[in-house]
Amino acid sequence: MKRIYCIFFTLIIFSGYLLQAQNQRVTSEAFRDSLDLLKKEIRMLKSQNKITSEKLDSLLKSITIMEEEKHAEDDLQRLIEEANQLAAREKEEEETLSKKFHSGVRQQQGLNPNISLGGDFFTALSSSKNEYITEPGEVGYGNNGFYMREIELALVAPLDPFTRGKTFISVTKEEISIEEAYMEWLNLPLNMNLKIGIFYAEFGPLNRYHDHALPQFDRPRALVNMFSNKGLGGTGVSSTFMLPRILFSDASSLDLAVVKGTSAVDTFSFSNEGLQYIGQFKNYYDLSRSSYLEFRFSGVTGQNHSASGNRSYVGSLGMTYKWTPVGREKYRTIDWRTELLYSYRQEDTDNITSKGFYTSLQNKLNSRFWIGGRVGYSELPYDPGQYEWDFTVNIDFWQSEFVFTRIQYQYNQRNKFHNEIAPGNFLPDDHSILIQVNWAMGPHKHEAY
Amino acid sequence: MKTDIRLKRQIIKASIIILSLSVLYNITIDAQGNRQRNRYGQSGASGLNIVCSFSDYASIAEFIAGDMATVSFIAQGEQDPHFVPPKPSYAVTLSRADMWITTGMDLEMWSATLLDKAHNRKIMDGETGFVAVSDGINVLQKVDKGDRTEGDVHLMGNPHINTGPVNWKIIARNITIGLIKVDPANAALYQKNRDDFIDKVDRALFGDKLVDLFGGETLTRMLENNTLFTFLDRAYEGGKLIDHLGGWLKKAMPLRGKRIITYHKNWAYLGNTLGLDIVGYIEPKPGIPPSAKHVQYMIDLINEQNIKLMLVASYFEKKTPDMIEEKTGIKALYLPLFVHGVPGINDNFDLVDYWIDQINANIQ
Repeated sequence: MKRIYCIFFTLIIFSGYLLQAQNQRVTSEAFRDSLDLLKKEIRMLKSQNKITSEKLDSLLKSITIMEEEKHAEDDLQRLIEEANQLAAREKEEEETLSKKFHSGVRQQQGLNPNISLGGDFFTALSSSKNEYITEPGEVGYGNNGFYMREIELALVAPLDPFTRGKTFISVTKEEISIEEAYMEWLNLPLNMNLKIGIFYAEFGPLNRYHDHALPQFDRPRALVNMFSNKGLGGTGVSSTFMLPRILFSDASSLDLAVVKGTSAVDTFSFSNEGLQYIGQFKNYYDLSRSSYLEFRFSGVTGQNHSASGNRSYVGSLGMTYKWTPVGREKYRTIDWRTELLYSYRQEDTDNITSKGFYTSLQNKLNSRFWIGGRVGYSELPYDPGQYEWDFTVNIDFWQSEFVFTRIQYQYNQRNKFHNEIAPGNFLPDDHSILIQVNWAMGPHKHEAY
Repeated sequence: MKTDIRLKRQIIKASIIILSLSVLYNITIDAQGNRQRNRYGQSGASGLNIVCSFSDYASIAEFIAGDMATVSFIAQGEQDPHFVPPKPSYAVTLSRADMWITTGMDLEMWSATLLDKAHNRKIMDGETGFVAVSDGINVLQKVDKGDRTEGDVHLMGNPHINTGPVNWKIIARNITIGLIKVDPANAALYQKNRDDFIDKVDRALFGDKLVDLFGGETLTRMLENNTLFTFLDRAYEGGKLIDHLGGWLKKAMPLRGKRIITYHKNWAYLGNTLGLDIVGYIEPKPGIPPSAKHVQYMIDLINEQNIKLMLVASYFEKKTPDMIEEKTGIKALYLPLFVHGVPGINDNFDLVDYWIDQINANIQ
């Protein structure tokens, strides 16, 4: 029995072993399969992992770039915002209780004309006797004393969009007179400007110059003897036409004027009776960028002082040459003006012709100094047998554009009578030295081109 | 007697023929007159005739108007802008102008006479063809004390606006407004050319990179209110913004803060743009020639204040600057104030290039 149990037990064990072996075999195969699968999976995973890792790396890299870009964008945005803030910054105005408020109702000065005041002072020494020379400028200026030739008040303003107004009032110790006072329409048809009022006429290179702007202290004797010390002009109407360019010029113009003269002294060409008719043709040539030449043909007619409405005619040929080197305008200029005058005067008994001329030169040496000179000859319009020469040199010192001092030497040779000063005798020749100081307050300067 | 009369008639006839021929000849060449004076473009399709007071304005007008206009100018590039003789031939030029471009301040005092003689209503103050380019410009050195103790003072402030490249943009805008008023049909073209011009100025001034990042207007405003260089000190892309600065401001970086003197106040806008510190003037007051005492004062100033350069517009006298140069050792640099002031300077961009190159080469 024990044996049977042993055998049974052994069988059981054997069968168990067999079973186990069978099981083990089955399990081993499954395991092996599993392992193979696992291996396969591992290999798959390994492969996938590699891709994933790369993907992750790539993603991480992208995230980093995006982060950097975002950061940079933020920086730039911040900078742009800061830039805009800075750019928009205005200078802050402090609010203060001391601020005062004003009304514009009583503050209309901005509409006032440009106001200028000029002073023209001189002193002179003459070699001739003082009693020969009474009124400054009537015969000469060598008066051995101190004088204010004039104070000139200038008022200039636009009147409206179409017109300009200019007034120049001359004040001397003896009188207040209107030098010029006119209004001018600009831009009228036919390329015309029209002027009415009191004015100097366009006649020759120097007639329109105010005394303070003359190249020498005094007006050329030829102009004085023809038109008086005040120049040719009066109350009337004047027009300027810009013409088509004539005779190969660079500019041509025609001036026509009708005035009632202001001369009250019969030694001059025209009387106050009737009207004076004045014309001037002007041709201008640019010689180079720095120089030009200008010719003027001028004429005037009006009644003279002789009886029965006799007329006088004065013609003039004027020439101006100017050299102003481009880029050196402040330092160098040569300005040469010449005028020849011819007078024809009707008289009851005989007609009279007379003539005169002057030539005036100015040379700017530097920003402050000019030297100049003039030679002039003039026959009296009513008696060509009486005449005078003048020889002048001057040196000018401009301390600024508004103040200058002039020293002038002049020799006057006179073959001329003056019934009041020297009855029965010729006026004496003389040498004179003159010092002029001229100043201008305000904006007015003589506009010469 | 009859022979005399016949001779006189022949003389009169000959005179009339000569005068008529000369008038005809002049009328014929009048059409070409402005073109001969013009240094820029050719007469355009619309035939606008633009006359400018200065060549700098003409250069900008030419850029904007393109082929639509003939552009000419009155003052020569090397000429003193204060003292241009108002010649009758200039009045003739203005008589035919469709547009007159001027500073609009009190610099071209000579132009009033010309306008009054030009018989051309459309270019008078306030009319369609009148353009004052200074309108809207931040004018420097405005006058607190308007009297002649300050010399030949400009009551409206410093009128030498052409020396500031930043101002050109406003000048261009004003010219464009004028062009559109006289020629509205081509408004789009003028506006495009204006924008191109302004962009060109911005890029020439700041360089491409900064203009692309911040825009020219923002940079300009910062330059004008003195915050640009503080801003350019900010970090950017691992460096600083100033590393990306280009154009004239980069070229002029060595000049910033350098002390100089000038003859006249005509370099104020350039100094402001480039950061030059202008500490004195050879003229004691505008328009007043230097006295010996003032020259000695300037020599002392140069020695005491470590001044690096004298800047002199080329139309001024050379005697005084040369003497100061000899006594102090600093260079007197003569520069043209305007386009065409020296050969080869054909537009505003050439001009500023030239200025900066010359200053860089001569500053100590």
